[in-house]
Amino acid sequence: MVMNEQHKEAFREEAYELLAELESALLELEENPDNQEMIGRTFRAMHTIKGSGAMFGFTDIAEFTHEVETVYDKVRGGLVSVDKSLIDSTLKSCDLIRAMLGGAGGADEAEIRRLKDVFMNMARSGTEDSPEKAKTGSASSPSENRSSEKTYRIRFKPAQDIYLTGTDPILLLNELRELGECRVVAHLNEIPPLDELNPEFCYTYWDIILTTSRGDNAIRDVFIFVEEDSELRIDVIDESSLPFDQVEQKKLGHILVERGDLTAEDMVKVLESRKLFGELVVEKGLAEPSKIEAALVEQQQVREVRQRRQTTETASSIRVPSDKLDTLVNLVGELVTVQARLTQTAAFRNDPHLTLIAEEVERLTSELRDSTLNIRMMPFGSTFGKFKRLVRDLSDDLGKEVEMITEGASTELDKTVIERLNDPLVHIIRNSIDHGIESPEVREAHGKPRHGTVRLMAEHSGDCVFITIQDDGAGLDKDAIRAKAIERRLISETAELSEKELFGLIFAPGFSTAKKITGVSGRGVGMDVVKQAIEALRGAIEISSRKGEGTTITIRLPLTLAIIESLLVKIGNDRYVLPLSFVEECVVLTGRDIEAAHGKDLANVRGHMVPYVPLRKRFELKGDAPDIQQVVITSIDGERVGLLVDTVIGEHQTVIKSLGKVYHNVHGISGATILGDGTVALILDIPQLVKWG
Amino acid sequence: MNTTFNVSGDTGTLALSESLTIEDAAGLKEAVGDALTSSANLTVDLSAVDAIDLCCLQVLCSAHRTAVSRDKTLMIINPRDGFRETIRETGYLRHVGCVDTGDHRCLWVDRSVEKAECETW
Repeated sequence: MVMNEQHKEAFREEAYELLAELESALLELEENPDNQEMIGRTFRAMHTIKGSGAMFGFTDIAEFTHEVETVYDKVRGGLVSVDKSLIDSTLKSCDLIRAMLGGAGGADEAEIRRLKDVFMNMARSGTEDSPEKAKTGSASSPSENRSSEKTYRIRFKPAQDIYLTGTDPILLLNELRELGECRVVAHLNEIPPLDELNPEFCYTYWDIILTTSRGDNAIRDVFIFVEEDSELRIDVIDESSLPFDQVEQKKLGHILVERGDLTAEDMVKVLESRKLFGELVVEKGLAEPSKIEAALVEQQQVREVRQRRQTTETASSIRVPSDKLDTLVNLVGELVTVQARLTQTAAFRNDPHLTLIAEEVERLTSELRDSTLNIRMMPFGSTFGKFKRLVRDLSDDLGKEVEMITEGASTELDKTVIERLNDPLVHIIRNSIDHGIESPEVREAHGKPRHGTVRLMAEHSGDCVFITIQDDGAGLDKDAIRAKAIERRLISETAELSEKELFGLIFAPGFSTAKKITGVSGRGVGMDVVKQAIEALRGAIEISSRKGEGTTITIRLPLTLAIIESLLVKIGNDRYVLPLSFVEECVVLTGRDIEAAHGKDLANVRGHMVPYVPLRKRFELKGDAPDIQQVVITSIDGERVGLLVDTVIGEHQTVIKSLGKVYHNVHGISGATILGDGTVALILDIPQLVKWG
Repeated sequence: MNTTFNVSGDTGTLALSESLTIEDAAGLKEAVGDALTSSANLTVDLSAVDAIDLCCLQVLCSAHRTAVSRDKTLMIINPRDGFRETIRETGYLRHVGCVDTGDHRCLWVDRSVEKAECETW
């Protein structure tokens, strides 16, 4: 049989995801070596890679992973303990498996053999104790528990004199509640009238619906001291291992018959009339209302538990290649453009019917756009494992002690943004550890803890996401930056710079202050590339630092790259699009204002002078500007700079189209969009325009 | 166990004391039985009761049944949080009353959703 390349690709994708998960589990395991859940996760990930690998023809991966899996099976059984060398070797295995996935001799054969031996030795050392222990000693992890969840129906009828034995049945009910989700219905039909009542007897009995993963024995344990004298019946009414299509939700009548609260003949009789089943049973005196209530409670709990299970199972079950998603986003982009044309046409025709349809299409398109863009969103936390690994390896290499703290794992960003953010973040984190965090001895001498800390945080704010990388290292040395900038002729010796401007120099091409070149950073290629990468994502980067206390780098990014909210402006006959995230306000500029500025491109905004870029001049457009023009005030790196345009048309939802390679070198333009009437408008690259202006 | 009983016309009000446990069950049975004999409509005031156990709940339920069988009424008023909690914990709280009470209202039906019944359970 020819192995289907598509299946192989699917396996590769799955394996890369599993490896990422594995790495984060390993790093957590290193901190808590006894964490059974993490041991279980590691074992299962290896197990899946091995199984699927063998199935799709990756025999080398399957054979290699087998050895690692064997060791983790022993770890689960408590025969092998987790230590740094095991974690180190397993992390190296992850790298090797990744290389093997790439194929074509990407993996180092000698290294594979060496690691295989390491794992085989570990497995042997674990077997020397008792091989049986491995099988029986494994503790079940919570995720395994979830899959073994069952719903039980318990009928508990204690002996009437239960109080004489010193047992309070209510305490037993409460013990059951501790096992899981529990609903209790008391049956009171055996409570006699006052003259026959022994006040110290228990006449009440119960139906309890309990969903738990603790198993039958845990339930029996609750009743261990009263079981002999009580009526106790425990039935499984629902279990998670059953596939959904094979389990039908039980009807009320069936539950009552199953419990022995109603005979099958009576059920058929009742069903012949057409009222609600429960009502009829009570009306005909066939069962007490409390029995119906208990049956309804059972139905409800089973329904809820199944719904919950279904939600969690479906949540993780769809896998779509990202190019299909890209196509979908593109199509939605086209649709948004066409919808804008429809709205414009409807307004032009002044036809109420057409307007109605256009409005409906507009509403649907915007919902479709939002949910499509949402599909592309990924939690930023999916990259945390990789960065933690980076910090761990780097601090080992450099002999530093660094801990990484992550926050905001659930913050979502466009998949492409996350992917393109990888290199800049790696660079920044490398810089933090190499230049920022001091060696343990130096830190101690400065009264700091030996352990340095790098924080990676993501936070959602409006239509932006802020990513912050903060370290508690030495901070930036202003004098060193200044000296270097003068040496590199970036500034003159007499230049007076604010702190912000000084730190901004770090982003200048070819700037590096590291005294020695290490394998980690300091090659002089650095923060300028980072800045370019962030700006290419239509983001901004800022740096702040205090000497001796640390450095904070803040990156602001747009939520998505496909569609942006923008401001549409007009210069001459052409229209242009400005990303709204940069725009602060618009002000009017008259001929008199221009005269008052004595030929300088400055606008007086409520007493403050704001420089502006006259776009008509900048783009060398023919024709005269109108008497009254508008300045769109933007904010770049905290500086207010204006862009002079003829008129501001209004807000616009812009579907971004790239300009293609031919226009790659055109500065000041980042893309184009198609407007409602079919014409093209250029999207202005504001940071670049301001820089070149 | 302290109780106070007042009669006005054919309506009697039995006010119960703070804690009602198995030790009080026999006394409660007697008090409710007597009160039911001397009034056609009995109201049991729970405003002072902050804890009750299963035995005493059974006594109240039994008294209600007895009242219904004698064509009298029995209702409870001013339940406090501790009482409500026990009703829930024991599984006594229900949506439909017991069939024997006919038109009479079951003591344990959840009326928290009904309007203008703030004082009555």
